[in-house]
Amino acid sequence: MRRYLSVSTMVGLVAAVLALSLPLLTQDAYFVQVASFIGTATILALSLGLLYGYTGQMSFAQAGFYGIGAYTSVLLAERFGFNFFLAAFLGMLLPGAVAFLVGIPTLRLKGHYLAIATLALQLGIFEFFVKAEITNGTVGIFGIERPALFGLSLESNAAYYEVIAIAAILTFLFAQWLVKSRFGRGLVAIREDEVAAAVVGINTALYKVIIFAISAMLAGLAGTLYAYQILFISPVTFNLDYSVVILSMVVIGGLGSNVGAVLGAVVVSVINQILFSLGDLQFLIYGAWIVLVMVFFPEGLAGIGRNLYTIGRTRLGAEARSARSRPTETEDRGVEKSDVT
Amino acid sequence: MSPETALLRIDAVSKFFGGLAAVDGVSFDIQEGEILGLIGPNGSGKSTMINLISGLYPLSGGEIYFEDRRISGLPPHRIARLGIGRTFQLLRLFQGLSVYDNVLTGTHIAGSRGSMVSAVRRALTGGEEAWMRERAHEVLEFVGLAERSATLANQLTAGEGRLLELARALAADPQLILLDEPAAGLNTAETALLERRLRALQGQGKSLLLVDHEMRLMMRLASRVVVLNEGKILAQGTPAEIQADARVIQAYLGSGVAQRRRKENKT
Repeated sequence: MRRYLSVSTMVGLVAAVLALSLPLLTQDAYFVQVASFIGTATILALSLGLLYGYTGQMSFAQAGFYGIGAYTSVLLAERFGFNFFLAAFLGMLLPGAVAFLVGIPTLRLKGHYLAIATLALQLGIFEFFVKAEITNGTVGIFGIERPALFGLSLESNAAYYEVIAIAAILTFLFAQWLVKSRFGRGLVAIREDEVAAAVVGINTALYKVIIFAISAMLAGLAGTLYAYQILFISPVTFNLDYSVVILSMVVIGGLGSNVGAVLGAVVVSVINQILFSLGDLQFLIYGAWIVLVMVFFPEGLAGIGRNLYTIGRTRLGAEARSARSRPTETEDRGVEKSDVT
Repeated sequence: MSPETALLRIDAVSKFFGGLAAVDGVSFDIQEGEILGLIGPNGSGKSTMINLISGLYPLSGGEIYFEDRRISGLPPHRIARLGIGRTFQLLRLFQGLSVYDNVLTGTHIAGSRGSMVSAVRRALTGGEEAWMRERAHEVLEFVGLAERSATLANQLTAGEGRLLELARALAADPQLILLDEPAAGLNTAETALLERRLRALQGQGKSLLLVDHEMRLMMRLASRVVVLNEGKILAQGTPAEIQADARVIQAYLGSGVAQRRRKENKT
């Protein structure tokens, strides 16, 4: 309908091009490594954002699903010789199936009770990684071999980073498409008022289970991407602490915004890298800066961006708008507002 | 008024909360194109009745039939899909969404009507989305909230919020609409608009169950009125009959009338 690209689309395109061309700027090993982590963190934040930010269902099990995805694809491809794509696909399907089955009883729970149920699930999954024979316990799995994709060697970390970046961009586009769809409106309705959602005909129980499963599948995808980046997996990566970190990305980024989830993933990952050098102090500072963000910017980074955008629009567009005030103007704005919610 | 032609049939419905009978053996029906009034003092079971019909509460006894199909026991979203919409007495809007998005969400099931094939085709071509957006605009025009499309629901006045509840319920084009005190908090102009709109809906062949605790709107709109008191049907009939009914006056209007009489005696 629009004759030219909107500001947000252009910003998105620039961000995507920048993300994809990072290795052109530097091939520094540490830099590529951090960029890769940000990529998988982005997918994780988007996955939890759909569940928590858009549907209002809190989960502490995201790192667990991330781990199920990683272990599934690695074990299938490395130990049982599955084709990489099939293994990666099953690495999404299994966490999705676990979420689906666990979701049927637990998603009836509300608020804190759901949070505690997912907490228990997270602890259970972690125990499995530690205790099970097939996962090789606390030692984990070494010597993962990165496959070649479509005849392209991915041996260099920079080349593999491109795979992660593309996956993260596709996940973002998928999440955007999902929340703007009829299904996505149903999710938001559930977050806003579950009873009202039911009486307008939304199958709230089914919708919640489906989004829980989709969210787990995306986390599983992130798990596979992570495992083949670092080429070694062990339970400690997929513990409760990391579930909390993912949650903090979503909250700091801004609930109910995919752009916010991306921003949250980037900012939290970068700050964690910086804090890492501080040793034990890092957790103190981590807690402190999250509290500060929540106190001063309760709508998260997306909220700050939204406010700046509105101010900019109002300053620049005030005259133009008043000159061509037409009845559809309010409608247009109504639609746009809903896009970022 | 024969049960065979009734759109909605309430058959000896009861609802107990613990030991308390909120609704106790109530039977009535709603005909196609009819506006049925349901009145009663606070706590008489009117809202409970709406919650039972829309499936929010399980029944303790009795059955409910819609278009000769048993709907008691179905979950709320299934009942909505069959063509029953409702509003809430205590507003349950999607507070963080715009007026327009509230109504757009209300079109949820209307978008899935028709055959599977046509639904898939509409989804693929984007026709469904366009249709739903068009429908949301139409409904907002209908209730007079088109100007407020972009406003967040939590910024509305009480009266506007109530009209938005109506718009959201209408969005799916239900055959039967359950209205829980739709005029509460409306100013005079809004009430007049509401009255015209409810008449127009009746003109389109819709059936309405109009719940209120006062007679004003009922007198002008309802063809029949059912009076609930302490969970039981106290009386039913035309609005004129109900106003003349001694039991109703005693149980429901009684105290007010008695007070007025006392006042008159004093002067």
